[in-house]
Amino acid sequence: MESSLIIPAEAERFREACTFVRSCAAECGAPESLLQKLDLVIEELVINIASYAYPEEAGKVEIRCLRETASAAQNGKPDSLFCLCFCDWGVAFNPLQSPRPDMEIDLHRRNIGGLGLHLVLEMADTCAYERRNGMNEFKVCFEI
Amino acid sequence: MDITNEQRGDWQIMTVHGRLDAATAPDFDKSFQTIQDVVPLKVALDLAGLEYISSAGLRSILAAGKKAHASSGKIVFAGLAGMVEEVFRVSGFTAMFEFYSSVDEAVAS
Repeated sequence: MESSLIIPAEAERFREACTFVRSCAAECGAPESLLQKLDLVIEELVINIASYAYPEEAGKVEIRCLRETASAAQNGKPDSLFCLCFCDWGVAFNPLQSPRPDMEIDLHRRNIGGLGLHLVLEMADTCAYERRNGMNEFKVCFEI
Repeated sequence: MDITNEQRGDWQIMTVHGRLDAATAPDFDKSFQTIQDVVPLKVALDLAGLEYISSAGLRSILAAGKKAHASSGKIVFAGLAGMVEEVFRVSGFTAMFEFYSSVDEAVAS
């Protein structure tokens, strides 16, 4: 099972992607408890792509949902995985190499930079980035 | 998202329901602007009815916390649960603020 949605990579469009992924998640039998995590990952990544992949010109983002079974699962884990692939055709950007926020800093000096991607990495069970043929592909998987 | 503001003694109580995300964070900022000139600004944020928060919501909360702190006041939180509590924790916000199980406990602090 695999389905995909292509929308303009604009910060305001993230809720469309959430609605799409929720219907895929239901078809894949993902638990209710995963839905808010999925919403969070989608909001942060769509907004991130809108800002960093397409800093000047408009572009598109494709979101694919797929269920991977044990045989296809990474790291030999026995679980089923519900995965989201975010593809864009903008500036090369590897979310796994973005600086992590400093958590030890006090309220005065704390800023919010990098927190969105940090949340994505915390919520997901596995993440992978690939740049090929002028495309960024970021895959985020959740055990279900 | 719904927000109600209430004054109790020298505390400003903001009760937030629903989802605090990139689409609704500007509404939170607007609501906070109506109380931000109080000095010292003591805010109790009741988040028991908050179902969802993203980094955009955390950005608004951080800005509010900085304003309160700059006025020699503070911002404290009540009723965090579930996903919202998890997002606060993994963002390092748990170490920066005070948390209470209810608004009554928060305003007694």
